[in-house]
Amino acid sequence: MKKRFAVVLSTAMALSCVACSNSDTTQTTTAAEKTTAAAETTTEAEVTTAEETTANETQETTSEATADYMSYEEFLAAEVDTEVTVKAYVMDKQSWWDNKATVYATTDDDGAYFLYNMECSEEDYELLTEGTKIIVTGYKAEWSGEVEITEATFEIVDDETFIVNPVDVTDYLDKDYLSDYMNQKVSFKGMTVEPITDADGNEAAFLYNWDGSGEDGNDLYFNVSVNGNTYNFTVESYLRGAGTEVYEAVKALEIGDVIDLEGYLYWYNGANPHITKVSEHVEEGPVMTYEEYVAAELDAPVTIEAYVQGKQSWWDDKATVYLQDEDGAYFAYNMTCSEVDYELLSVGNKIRVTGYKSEWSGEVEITDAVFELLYDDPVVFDPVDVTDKLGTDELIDYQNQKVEFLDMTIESITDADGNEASFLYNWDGSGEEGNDLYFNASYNGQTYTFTVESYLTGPDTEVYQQVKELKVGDVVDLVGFLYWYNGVNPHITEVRVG
Amino acid sequence: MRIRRIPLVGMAALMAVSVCGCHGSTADLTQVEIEEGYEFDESRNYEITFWAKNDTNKAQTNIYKKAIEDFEALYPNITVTMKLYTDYGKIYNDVITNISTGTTPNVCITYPDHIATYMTGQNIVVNLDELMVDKNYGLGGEKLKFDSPTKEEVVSQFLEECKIGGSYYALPYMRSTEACYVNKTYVEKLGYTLPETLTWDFVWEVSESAMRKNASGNFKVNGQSVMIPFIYKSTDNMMITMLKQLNAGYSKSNGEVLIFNDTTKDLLYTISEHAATRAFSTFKISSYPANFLNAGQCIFAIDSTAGATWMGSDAPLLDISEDQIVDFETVVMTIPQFDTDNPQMISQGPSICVFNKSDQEEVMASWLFAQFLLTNDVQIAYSQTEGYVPVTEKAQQSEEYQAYLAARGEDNDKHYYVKIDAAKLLLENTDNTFVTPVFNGSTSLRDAAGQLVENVTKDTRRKKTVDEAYMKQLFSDVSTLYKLDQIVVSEEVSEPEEGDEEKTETEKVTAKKDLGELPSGSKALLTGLVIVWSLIIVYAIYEFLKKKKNNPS
Repeated sequence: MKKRFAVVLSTAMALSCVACSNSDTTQTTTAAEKTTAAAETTTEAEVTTAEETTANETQETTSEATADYMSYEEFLAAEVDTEVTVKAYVMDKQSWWDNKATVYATTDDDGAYFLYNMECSEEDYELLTEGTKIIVTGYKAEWSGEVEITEATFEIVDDETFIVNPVDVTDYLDKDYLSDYMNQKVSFKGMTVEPITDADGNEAAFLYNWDGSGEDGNDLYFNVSVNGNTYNFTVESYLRGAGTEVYEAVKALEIGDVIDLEGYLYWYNGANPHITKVSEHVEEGPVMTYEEYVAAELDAPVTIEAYVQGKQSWWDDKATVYLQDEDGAYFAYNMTCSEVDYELLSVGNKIRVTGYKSEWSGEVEITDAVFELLYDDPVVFDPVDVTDKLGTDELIDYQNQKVEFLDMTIESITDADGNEASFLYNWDGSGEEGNDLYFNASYNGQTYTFTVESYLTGPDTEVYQQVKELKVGDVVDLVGFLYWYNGVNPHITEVRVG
Repeated sequence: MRIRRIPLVGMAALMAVSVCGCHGSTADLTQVEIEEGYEFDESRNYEITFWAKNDTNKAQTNIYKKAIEDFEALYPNITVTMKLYTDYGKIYNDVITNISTGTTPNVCITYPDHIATYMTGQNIVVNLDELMVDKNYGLGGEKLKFDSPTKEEVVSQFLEECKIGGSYYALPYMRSTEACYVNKTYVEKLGYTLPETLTWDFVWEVSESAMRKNASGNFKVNGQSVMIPFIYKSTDNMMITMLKQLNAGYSKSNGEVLIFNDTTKDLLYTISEHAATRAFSTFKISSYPANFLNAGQCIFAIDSTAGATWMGSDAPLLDISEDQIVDFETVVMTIPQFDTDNPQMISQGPSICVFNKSDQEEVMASWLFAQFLLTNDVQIAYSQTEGYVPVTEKAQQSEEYQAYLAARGEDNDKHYYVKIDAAKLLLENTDNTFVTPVFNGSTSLRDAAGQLVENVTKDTRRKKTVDEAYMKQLFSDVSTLYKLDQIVVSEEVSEPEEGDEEKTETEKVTAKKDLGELPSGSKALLTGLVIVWSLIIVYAIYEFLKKKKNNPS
């Protein structure tokens, strides 16, 4: 009997495999047949022509499509069930199944689309990375309140990419106009985890499925509150399944945790955010002016907004950057920062930093900080000439600023063995290529030591190589950041000779 | 100016838990066997790489360079290329990276904790058991071209620290411990007399006393606006040593984590109490203890004896400008103790490991160079650069070294009294030193120990409430951060150790469980398997006999 049962199982399995492979084979065969047929019936020249034609057709199609797509306003105004063509940029991919892809996409201004079950080969699905521009044609639809585009096809347009950042909608949660943000990438700040009750009346910090009927791998449901109201959020397992960072983070939540969330504002008979990121909430105080920051006591929590002027290092999910605003400068040491976020962070970007004011060997800095990218136009400050401030007590007022020292004369520097040189690897000459460089330069008869900090500007940078070429007696302008280490210790980023 | 805070060793925690081999598992693969009559092939040329660490100290760089020159003069067929580091963590990271690409150095200065992680790779670190005792090329070997110490001439305690899983995987290179560098002038100014041995109570009391301010808001004791009476450089050592002194749990040699216990919590409450008044701080929070000590802004500066040349008003190495230095008397003392009759302090310092290569002659060339670093010339010269002590009796007892010690205070450079006092402190307390168990994950545990102190200190300064709920969360966060709950506890039975009686719920989860009797379901499954196999065998015999009967040959 067991044998018979096993045979039944085996047969069923084999059939299902065949069924699966058949469906795959059919598609593959179709594609292969087309390829083979083309190869067999065309010469090399003809293939080339065909390829060119295809490319041209794509371009033509693209330009046609570009001309024809709707604005987001027009999309909103369109009736349900009408055909729509929109331009969008991929934000996230939810799922691919049976040549159908479901994707969250954004406009380049203030809207977003949920592209449900678009026709899409598995190969094309791989190409839909974040920021990819696509032209989508399908039908506007609504399902349980969720406005989406269905039965769609799409084309990838390679001319540009666009990545959108989340909109903080915490304060809109209880507002009617929350639906204006439908499908957008959104964030929620300072949410408190509340108990959620399963079908048996048991309370938990999260449930597998809405009523607790599921298991690991199913959607997660959890409640969070803000401003006295409680909301139900979801980790949609197709979008972020078991093993993903957010899925595991939600499983680790405890009632009472205060967290920040990011996700997409999906709709299901009301707002039903699909969460993609959970992080510990760091209480942000009001944004301080530079004057207020200076007045703050050491170890006090601080929040500032400033423009990145120099990226010093990233290590172990920690970033160190120089920041500046119109009034002064900051050194943010070891901010929490993923490698991806660090790559996205550019000189000129405005960020909001929340951390603690600290001092280490005279360097006033912000530690244990988190940051948020803001969307102002980038600003890169010109260096401030502080040559005349050298040797004065006023110099510390420029701490961490981008500064310049003009007409400095390179002087010799002495290593631990008493040897003179124009620069040293490490302060005493104990280092080698790749270590910090130290060199002396004088102004008005006084000599000062400058550093090329290898984390900020390593051996592959121009300034590192320039300093190695300096000769005693050279007159140069030096540009850098006014770092402090038991006194002024400028980190030079540029040398202008002659 | 010295290296600032070094980026955390990010890969350490990851590596520690991502590989599940237990130490010693690769021992046989790395065993170098020397056949009878073996001769090192000097007709070939060898190029070996040596990754060295210096304390941003040019004298140390020069000694390495001279050692290489001297070695190459003896063995012209071996070329040694040195790569310098200023931090063990960076060497560790680079070794880990290069293990995956098969480009490890030949010889490397490192910590035994790190070697335990290197060894989780296949055939990576050379087991030195056989090499060390080879009569020709081992320690003190007959065919060596230099005066190598015998195995017996290496300080046995230091050599034992290089044993992992019962085998030697390193040679000690230098040893140091921690010392408390005390501003005696200020202690007495505050009305106290230094005891023969510092106690924690004494240090806390004097530190609190130093926090009194005058009418102008400056500290009475130094008249300055800055005073951090007690600064500890290595907070991981701080926690580890305190636990050791109290005979409390830290870890077992099989990887069992014991640190999350009530004693740890009590120590953290005490630390928090003194962080709240700002009487205590750490290197990571404030800066180098030496800078504050020399500026008259610190009274008890605990740092390695290998940092002695930076300590005191007359220190030969300085990080602050001359005008910031305050004149005071520096005394080098053992770190504070809970039990002055049974002082305990950590043994630390670099060791040397040899990496395995497919060419065993290259490994021999590496071994020869590693041994050369234990010769008197290298040992004595290097130990004199800081408050290190040589790791061989041969060097320690040599006339040259004894003369060096005797010349204490004759100058503020080579014979700087603080440096020599620091070295003497270890020489006199070698029997009072300890090391922590080494296993795959011990580096993470060490980092976690320090993180507990750092977090409590920082959070107290930031006015967070440090209570039972805080402690519970802290233990949980630190355990998660360093993946301590993922450390594989090896099967080897470890002897009962200190602190065993202090197991908490967390540790009970981590500890190897007594699995007890098999569940009934498992029993039924096993019984079923036995029956099925029996029936199959009976059936096979039956078929065989039937076939034989039908086809008699």
